[in-house]
Amino acid sequence: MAIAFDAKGGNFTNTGTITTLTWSHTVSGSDRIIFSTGRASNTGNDMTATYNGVSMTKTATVAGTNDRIFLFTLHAPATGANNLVLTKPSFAAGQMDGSSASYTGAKQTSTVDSSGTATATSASCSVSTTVVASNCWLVGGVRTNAGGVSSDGSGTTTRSGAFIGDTSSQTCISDSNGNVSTGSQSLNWTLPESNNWYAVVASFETAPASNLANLKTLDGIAKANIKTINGVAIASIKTYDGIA
Amino acid sequence: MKIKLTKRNYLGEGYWHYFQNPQTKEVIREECTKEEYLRMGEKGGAKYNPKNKGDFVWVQSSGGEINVDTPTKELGENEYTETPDGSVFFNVKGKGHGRGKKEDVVNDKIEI
Repeated sequence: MAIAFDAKGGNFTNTGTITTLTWSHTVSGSDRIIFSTGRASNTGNDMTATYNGVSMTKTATVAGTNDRIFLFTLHAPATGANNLVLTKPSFAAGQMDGSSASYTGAKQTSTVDSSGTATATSASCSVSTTVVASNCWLVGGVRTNAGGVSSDGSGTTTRSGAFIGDTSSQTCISDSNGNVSTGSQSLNWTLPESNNWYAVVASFETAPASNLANLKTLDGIAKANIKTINGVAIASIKTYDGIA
Repeated sequence: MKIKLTKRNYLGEGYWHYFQNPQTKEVIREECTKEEYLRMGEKGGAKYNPKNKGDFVWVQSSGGEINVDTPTKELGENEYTETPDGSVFFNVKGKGHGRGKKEDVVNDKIEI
């Protein structure tokens, strides 16, 4: 099963001195995964995230000169329109924003394949990770003191936020919009000018193809997992009227 | 570098719903209670999300906001306020928000 983009959420910058932020994100499909970026305006601050009340895993985080960016992950999120909540400690009020993206066709494990972070002051942003498994996608985000990015770079599709001149979240979420090879792979963006930026990235795996056998039943074709003595296998089943 | 700040009086924590007009991008906000905000984040809490207000679509809610005595209750750029626990929250243009001790602000100036 191939990974596919499902939906985006977030997409609005809050200028208040706050500690928590909530937006709606609608998830659908099978073998689901949801990611969220979050930005806190004070370096060193921690952040947590929940989706429909379920805690998301902090996958990556890195600080810039003024702010810190986080990437959160949740496998098998609930379907439907549910709320994503970012929360900082009560003593750490400041500007916050974030964006979210969900995907179908993702392997349902408890961790991502790999992750990485980067920060620098330059006109181009690139954050890389060493991809381990085949058929992974990259997902990540960047926050820049320039207020957003000018354009996506090679192999990068921004789903929500961060473009200069719009009113959306200044912390984007982007992906590779396709499988990447194993080894070092990156997401890339271009800034309008040289400025401080900080970025996070993770790779996540495609759901394995199901080992299902075609079975001829009395009323048509059905699929089933066949348990053998040494695991799950594709099997030929002899039925009452032949091989199916 | 010392930055001159304007002091604002602390009013407390605020919880707000944000609505945006998709055409004009204008944003309005409406205050809610802490309880109304927190229940939105619970399992199935989306049923408590605010309804759209005419042409304005609900985009986000936020909480724990440091509210001060400005028309919008927000801490503006180059402003600071003292909270009851003795902390100082400030918003410096180009640097963003920060938190410090009361002694960090001398004659309404802070070293950044």
